[in-house]
Amino acid sequence: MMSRLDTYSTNLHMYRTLAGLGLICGLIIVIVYQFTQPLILNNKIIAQQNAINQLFPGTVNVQEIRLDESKGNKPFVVFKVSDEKQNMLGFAIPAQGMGYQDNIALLYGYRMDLQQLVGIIILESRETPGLGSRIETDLAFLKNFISLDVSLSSDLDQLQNKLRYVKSGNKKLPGEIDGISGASVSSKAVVDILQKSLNYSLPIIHQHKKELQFGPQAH
Amino acid sequence: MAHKPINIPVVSEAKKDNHEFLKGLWLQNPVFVQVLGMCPTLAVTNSAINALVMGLATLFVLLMSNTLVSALRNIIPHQVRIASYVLIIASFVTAVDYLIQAWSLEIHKALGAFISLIVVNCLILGRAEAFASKNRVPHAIQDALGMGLGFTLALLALGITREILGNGSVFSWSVMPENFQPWIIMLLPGGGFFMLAFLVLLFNAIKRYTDKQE
Repeated sequence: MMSRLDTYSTNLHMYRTLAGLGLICGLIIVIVYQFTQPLILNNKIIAQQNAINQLFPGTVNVQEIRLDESKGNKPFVVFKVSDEKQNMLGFAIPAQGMGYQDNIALLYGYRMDLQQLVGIIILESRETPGLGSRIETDLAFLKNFISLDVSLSSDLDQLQNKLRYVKSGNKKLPGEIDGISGASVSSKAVVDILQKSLNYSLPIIHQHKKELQFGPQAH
Repeated sequence: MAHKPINIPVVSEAKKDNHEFLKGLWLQNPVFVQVLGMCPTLAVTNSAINALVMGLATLFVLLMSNTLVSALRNIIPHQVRIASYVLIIASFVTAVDYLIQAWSLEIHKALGAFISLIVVNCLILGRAEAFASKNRVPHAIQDALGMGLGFTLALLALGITREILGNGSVFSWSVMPENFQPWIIMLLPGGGFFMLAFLVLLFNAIKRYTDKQE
């Protein structure tokens, strides 16, 4: 039978080993994190930059603008995109929401002068390969969002024509988006994410129109 | 009655190393013989590059954890050995997760949650418990390299065949004629099961044939 001293000694040995191992493992993680973090951040910036260039060809300057809304929400982030002559090309706006399997993150381009979208880029999705994943590659679906009219209503608080998902080939009215057959849940999720984000973002952008167009000093 | 003396083959250290390495590639292949780590095997082999990166990530974690477990085998108390192995494996999985993100966000995105799930890959915990905790560091390294490479090659075989049939390409290079109609089922989990069954069948047929030849 083990004496109390033996039990104490065994327990101490176990705790000592686990604590020592925890220290070694923690050190390994910290070293790898320190080494990789700048590279990961750089990769994320490059991916976002590529998406903005794809939406607005000729982009030279991208300025991140954060607007604090008094509703207590997170600051609203928008990227102001300009060409080499500092002419504003439009805004790139990030949005995200739930897809069929996991989160879908996208970036859409908005031209305030025309009140139109220039297109969308899916930044992150884990939809079913070969089916839902077509939201990233299906040209007919992505074409829905090119030059899509997103004018605001007269009181500037919501879209004039609400975006609505319709089955592939049934698009008739303004605001209707042709879905992808075989990927209806994922394509509907994209339309819903966009509709929600546009209803939130566009009124804020129009509210801060001058500040966004000419910089904070004009406010 | 005089008994015939039994000749016990003397296995040299070099020969043992060789055996520890080669057994993972063929005789005890983790996928086709031991049928271990089926979750990543079926889920991420829808393209050759995903299969290769998952295989290499698993090889890295297996190599590092086997080495550390073997080096600390006389220090880790029996009662907390599994907790210690999981701690070691989880740390190297976290490290490999950061390394893949630093290398390519696209591949990290494609592999999704399966990188984190290497922690619960029974191949890694199995080798730590069954081999590394009972053998010296050089043998543990040989075992990890053999098993890891065997796992990577099996994943690659699945990834290449599924990508050819499901997308008409290998490592995103088109290899099929233009009028080839891709078999989408091969990119879905169902296609993974079909292809795995076919490759296990093929593997066993080759093994039976080579055994007969010997």
